[in-house]
Amino acid sequence: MKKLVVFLILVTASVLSAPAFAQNGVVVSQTEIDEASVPRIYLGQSRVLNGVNLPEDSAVRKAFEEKLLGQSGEQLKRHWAKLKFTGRATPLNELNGDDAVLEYVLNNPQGIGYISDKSKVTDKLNIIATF
Amino acid sequence: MKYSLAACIGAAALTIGLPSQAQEKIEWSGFGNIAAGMTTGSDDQLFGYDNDLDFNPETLFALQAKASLSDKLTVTTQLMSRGSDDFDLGVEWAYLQYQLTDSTSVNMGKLRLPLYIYSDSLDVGYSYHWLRTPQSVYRVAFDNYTGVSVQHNAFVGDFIFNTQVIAGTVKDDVEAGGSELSQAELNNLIGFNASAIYNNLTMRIAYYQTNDTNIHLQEIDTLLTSLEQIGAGDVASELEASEDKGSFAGIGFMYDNFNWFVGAEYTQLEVENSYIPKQRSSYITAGKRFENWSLHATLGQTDDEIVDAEQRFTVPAPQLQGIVNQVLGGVVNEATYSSVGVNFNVAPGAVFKFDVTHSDDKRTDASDVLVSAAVQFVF
Repeated sequence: MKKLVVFLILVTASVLSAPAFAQNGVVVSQTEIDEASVPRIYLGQSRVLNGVNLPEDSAVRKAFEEKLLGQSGEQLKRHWAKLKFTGRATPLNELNGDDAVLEYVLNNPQGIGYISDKSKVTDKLNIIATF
Repeated sequence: MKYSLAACIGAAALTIGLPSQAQEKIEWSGFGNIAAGMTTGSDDQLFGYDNDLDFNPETLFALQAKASLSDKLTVTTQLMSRGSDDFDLGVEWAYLQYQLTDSTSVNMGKLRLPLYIYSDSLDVGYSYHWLRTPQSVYRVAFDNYTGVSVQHNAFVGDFIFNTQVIAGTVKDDVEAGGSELSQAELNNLIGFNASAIYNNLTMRIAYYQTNDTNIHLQEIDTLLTSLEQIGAGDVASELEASEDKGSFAGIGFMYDNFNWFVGAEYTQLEVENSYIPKQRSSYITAGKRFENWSLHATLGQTDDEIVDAEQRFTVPAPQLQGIVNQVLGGVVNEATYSSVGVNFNVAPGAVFKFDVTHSDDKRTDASDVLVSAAVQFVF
């Protein structure tokens, strides 16, 4: 029972804290590109940089998709299903959190990703967009 | 079946024969459609369904394997099992893709013939709002071709332009006219489609042609011989679809602001000097999305016409004239369709769809109602 209570508190806390991510999100890359390229990359229309995603259930991803791509997760899933099964684009890789994304973009000059916390961005990276 | 089995083995060998390093990079994915339907009237028939509840006509499962041979070269095969083919496994797509530049790629192999806006993802019900694509327009009997396709993406201002040029051949058993399968062969098929995407609006045009269309109808073989015997060889040759010029043109749009959507397509198909009528097809669709569900409606129409019928198909023998008219009457399609559907998102990657479609055949005055439900998913 105690475990259940702890679990419920954690779930509630994570749900309540989710919107807090939204104000602080940034899209980062070593390469400087315009903000207009971000939706093209994440909608599978452009391969100018290699985009990486966070997991589907992540609140940051949800905020990123709604604010910068203007689409819901369900819309994007349908969109990518179409691309994937018709050979038009390969789904983007998924990494499990901010740190993994930062590591990826720091090691890949052609990489681009988004994270929840602006303060983690170092001098080596450009902020392409905020959300 | 023999072909599909050979193709399956070929595709499997292709995948298994890859260097182990490539095998590790194989990405597996898949999709499916479990659909059931029945018509409301005891004599009603529509889209392969009749008055008995049936799961077979539209149920399908597909598995896709994609392997990277290098940064730029990938091989993809899509194996599919359809209820309408007794769940025999077949190769739906099998192609090599070479990424020429960031914006241009070349596909070679067995590919989807991109006649319509949703041709590419025709089997992936999850990718569109309908339970099935509108049958008033999506009615060409073959879906695939073997050949090459070049795809290009360009960005001009706020527009995205997708262009695809294709060349190849179609060889398939199709249902044409009656119930027997006919052999369809289209050689020297070339064409293109181009889409312009501006924010939520997608506009598309398509054009394809071939100078060598052959769709053999076994049912009319005897008729053709009889016509030649009475000296009406010119009528026989007008009737036959053999080495004839065929063309297809389509135009369409889809506007989707994620709150609501509206779209339409119009297509025109012609096979000169053949029994195949000039086919004009259209639909218009609109819908509204809510939190976890959506509601939509579609109106469709087919409007076929035998061009210059009197001039081309007048036979000096009244009895044969009757048979000729019957054949021509059987291939002409003049019907209207209306459907309403409701979709529920049941899980990420799975949707439940319910659809009621009403069809009205203007020639036979027959009216049919089909009720169907489906779960469509991707993984």
